[in-house]
Parts: sequence; structure tokens; C-alpha cells
Amino acid sequence: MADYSTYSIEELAADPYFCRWVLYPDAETKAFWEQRQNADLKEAEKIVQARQLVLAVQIKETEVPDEKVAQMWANLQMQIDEAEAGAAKIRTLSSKSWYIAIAASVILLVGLFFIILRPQSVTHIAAKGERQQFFLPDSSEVILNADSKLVYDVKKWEEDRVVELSGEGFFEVKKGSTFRVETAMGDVEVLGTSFNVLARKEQFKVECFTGKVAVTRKEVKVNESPTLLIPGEAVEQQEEGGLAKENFEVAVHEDWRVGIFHYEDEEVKYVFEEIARQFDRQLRLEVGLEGRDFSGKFTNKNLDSTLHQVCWPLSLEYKYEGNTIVVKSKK
Amino acid sequence: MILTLIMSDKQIWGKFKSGDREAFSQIFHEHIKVLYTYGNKFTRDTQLVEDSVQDLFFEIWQKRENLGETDSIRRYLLGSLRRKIIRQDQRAKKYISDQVEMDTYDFQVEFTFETLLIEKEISEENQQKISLALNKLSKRQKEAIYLKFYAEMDYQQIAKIMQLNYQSVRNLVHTSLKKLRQILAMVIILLLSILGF
Repeated sequence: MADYSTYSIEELAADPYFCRWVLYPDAETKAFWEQRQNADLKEAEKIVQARQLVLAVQIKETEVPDEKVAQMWANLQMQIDEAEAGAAKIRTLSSKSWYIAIAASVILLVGLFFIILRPQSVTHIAAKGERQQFFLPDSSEVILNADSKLVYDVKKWEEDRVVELSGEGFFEVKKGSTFRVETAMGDVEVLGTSFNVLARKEQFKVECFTGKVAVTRKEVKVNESPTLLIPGEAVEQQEEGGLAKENFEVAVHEDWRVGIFHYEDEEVKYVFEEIARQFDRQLRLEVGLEGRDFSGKFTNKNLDSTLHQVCWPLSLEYKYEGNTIVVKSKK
Repeated sequence: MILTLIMSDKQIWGKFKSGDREAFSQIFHEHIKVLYTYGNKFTRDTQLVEDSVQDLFFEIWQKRENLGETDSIRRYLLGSLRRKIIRQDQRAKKYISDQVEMDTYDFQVEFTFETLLIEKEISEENQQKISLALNKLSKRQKEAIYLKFYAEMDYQQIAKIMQLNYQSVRNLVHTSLKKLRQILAMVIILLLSILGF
């Protein structure tokens, strides 16, 4: 640590550790600087003046609006996409042979035709045992759970905020036009909010964290209106068909986003599938598990302890065969 | 397996250089606001600033494979944007010469205590006194203060951004803080007199 007793007022004001205390005080810096103030009157006077100075030289800055950021990001992406389409063209034409050149231009024309007509889709994939966090062109944020995929069309984004999801994703949507998540089981529409969507095989569940969310099932009767959710409400697809509403605790952020998995009366089959996804393993169930439920919590840190936690209360056993988790009944 | 929210600048720069679009997006979103506000200190032409910011990100994406290592992405971006804007702004103002004068630029900042003065309805005469005193701060001094206290850069980083040596930056910051302290003393006396002391 520097010898602060020799510092001038200006030197103090320019010192990062001093500024940290003035601007973002925490227990450590508070203890340190208050102790120095108490120890020596002359130094205390300097500290007071330096503190005033740091506060006074804070620069007045208007916050850059999120819409501005989103617009700049969209412009940049467009410029990059255009350049990358153009670069492909230049490379093809640099060939010396006429034949190849002509053939290339034909291919190029066909290619361009496709590039222009083809929707410009962007795909994000989180592999097994992995999670992905990224931004959409409007600065909305997405976290994808393991073994999940999200696709959207950059070209249409400005007029239509639509993403296709299979798997599980958490969305923090920037305010704006309607934002739609399409899944095989149903669609979720919002204006600007945060929510979680789970859409795997026959599973479909939507949880609303902030704002309002409208959920529409895919196989819907014409007159069925969308289900509206407010924060703390969730809907889940029932085996017998239809969506059932339930409540959950918004304040508890212990979920898959931080590597914690929490279940209440969940079908055991789904729990094991989630474990296999999180630890990047195959799964074989050598036992009928229909109608058996699991309630409890586990993390994605240690496979053995996780499997033990789930197997033990249900009198199940597990073993590994290479990359596969095999689950069977206890003898 | 664990959510990688905190990556060092070195790591994320490496990912970006290997063509990772998510790393690029993260870099953009993390620094865009500071870059944009810093850029707008040099000129009133916000379109020029926006274009320069877009150019900057476009260029680093195009030549990402040839970029060097960096331990401070923010420092790298601030320095590059600064050169770009000063050059562009001169072109716009028709200082057409082969040599770009890196010294003919402007830098305008407003300190928080200035708003305080307006709110407290200080007489025009006294306000002028203070802005006159503030104008005695050179653009370099203002910029160094801005980079230190707003962009939170250290002396070494400011030196690289402003293309000065370490000692000059130290001196810049200290002399400007000294001047600001005098102005501040003036302001405090004024405010007290208004309150009737």
C-alpha cells in the first residue's frame, strides 16, 4: 500500500483506491479510509477535500438509450452480412480460367438469387453440457439451456421479432413491437418482459418473471383464446391435453440459469433426461418409471451426487456403461 | 458447464479473434455506451460519431485475425475511436492536408457541479466567472479527467489512448485537478452566500 500520508489532495483524488471508496464504498475501503481520518487531523482535512473534489469532477452524462444501442447493433450486423456476401463473390471471380469464370458466374447468379430470396437465418445452439448466453439484434438477451436451439431471421427482424425455440431458454426482452417465441407445442407472445420457455418433445412450460405473456397452444381450437400470464404465473402442458396454470416464486432465482435444478412432483423420466443433458451423457432407463414423481433440488456440479439424490428416495440404482447412464430398480 | 459470465479481456478477445460472433456481440454491448459518449465529446455531429463507431466495429471484425493481443479492450477501442473521429472531423471541416493534425480537436465536457449552479440560480455574472475559469482547462486536461474519472482508465491506459507519455498524463491530471479545486472553492463560497451565510 502506498504511503498516503505524503499525498497531496490532488494525488489522493487521482488514486484509484481512494476513488473506489468515494464512489463505490464497501466495508473494506470504508474501514481503511475512516481509520486514516480518525488517526490524523491534518490528513482528515485532506481526505475531506479530496473527496469533495472527486464528487465534483464526476462528469454529467446523459444515458445512451437502449434503442440507440439496438439500432447501431442492427446497422453493424447488416454491414457485416453484406460484406460477407460480397467477399464470397470476389473470391469466386478471381479464377483465371474462362471456363471456370463463366461457370462461376452462373453459380454465383444462382447463389445470389438464393441469398436474396433465402431468409437470412441465424442459429444458436447450446450443446449438451453447455449453456449459451447472447443478444438478439434488438439487444434482447437470451440464455439457452443445454441441448437447445434457437433460430431467427435477421432480415425480417426489424418488422417481426420472431424466434423458433426447441429446448429451453430464458428471455429478457427489450420493449418494442410484439416478440414471439414459436415452439412445436405452442407460441409465446410478449411486448417486453422476462420469461422462461421449456419446449422439448411432449414437454411445454412457460414461466412469466416480469411483464405480461400470452401463450397459445399449437393444436388449438379456433375459438380458444390465448392464456395470459402475469409475473409468478406459469402454464404447463398436461398429458391429457390443455394447459394448466400454476404459481411459482419469482424472487427465487435458483434455477437452471445458475446451474440449480429444482423440481416439484416432476415425472422422473424428465428429471433423468435433464441430468443427461447437463452432464452430456446418454441415458437408458431399464425400469418402468411411469407415474413416479420426484421432488427435490440438485446442481450440475457432480454427476454422482446428483444421480444419488434422485435415485435413492425412489429405490433406484444407477451405473455407467461408457458414456451412458443406466438406471434400474434396486434388487 | 458453469455459466461463463466473467471472462478476462484476454480470453474474450481471443474468442473474438477466432471469429466467435457471441464474443463480438459481448464486446460491442459492453463498451458501446462509453464509446458513444466519449465520441460525442469531440464533435456535435452525432451522425459522424455513430458512423465512426460502426466503422470501428466493422473494421475490427473484418481484420480480427490480424489484430494483436490486448489486455484492455476498452483502452484499445477508445484509442481507435479517438483517432478515427479526429481524422473524420477534420475532413468534414475541410482541413484537407496530407498530415492529420492530431492536435486540432475539441473536447467538451460538463461537470456535475455545473448543473448544481444552474439549479441554484446563480447570477449570470457569477456563472460567467465560473465558465471562464472552466474554459481555462485545456481540452487535453478535460479529456484526461474524462478518461480517468468517467471511462475509469488508469494513467498507463490514458497515455496510450491520448498518445502521450506516462508522466505527461500524470501531470495533466494533477494540474487539472488543482484548477478544478480552485473553481470548486469559488463555487462553494458562492453557494454559501446564496444560502445567506
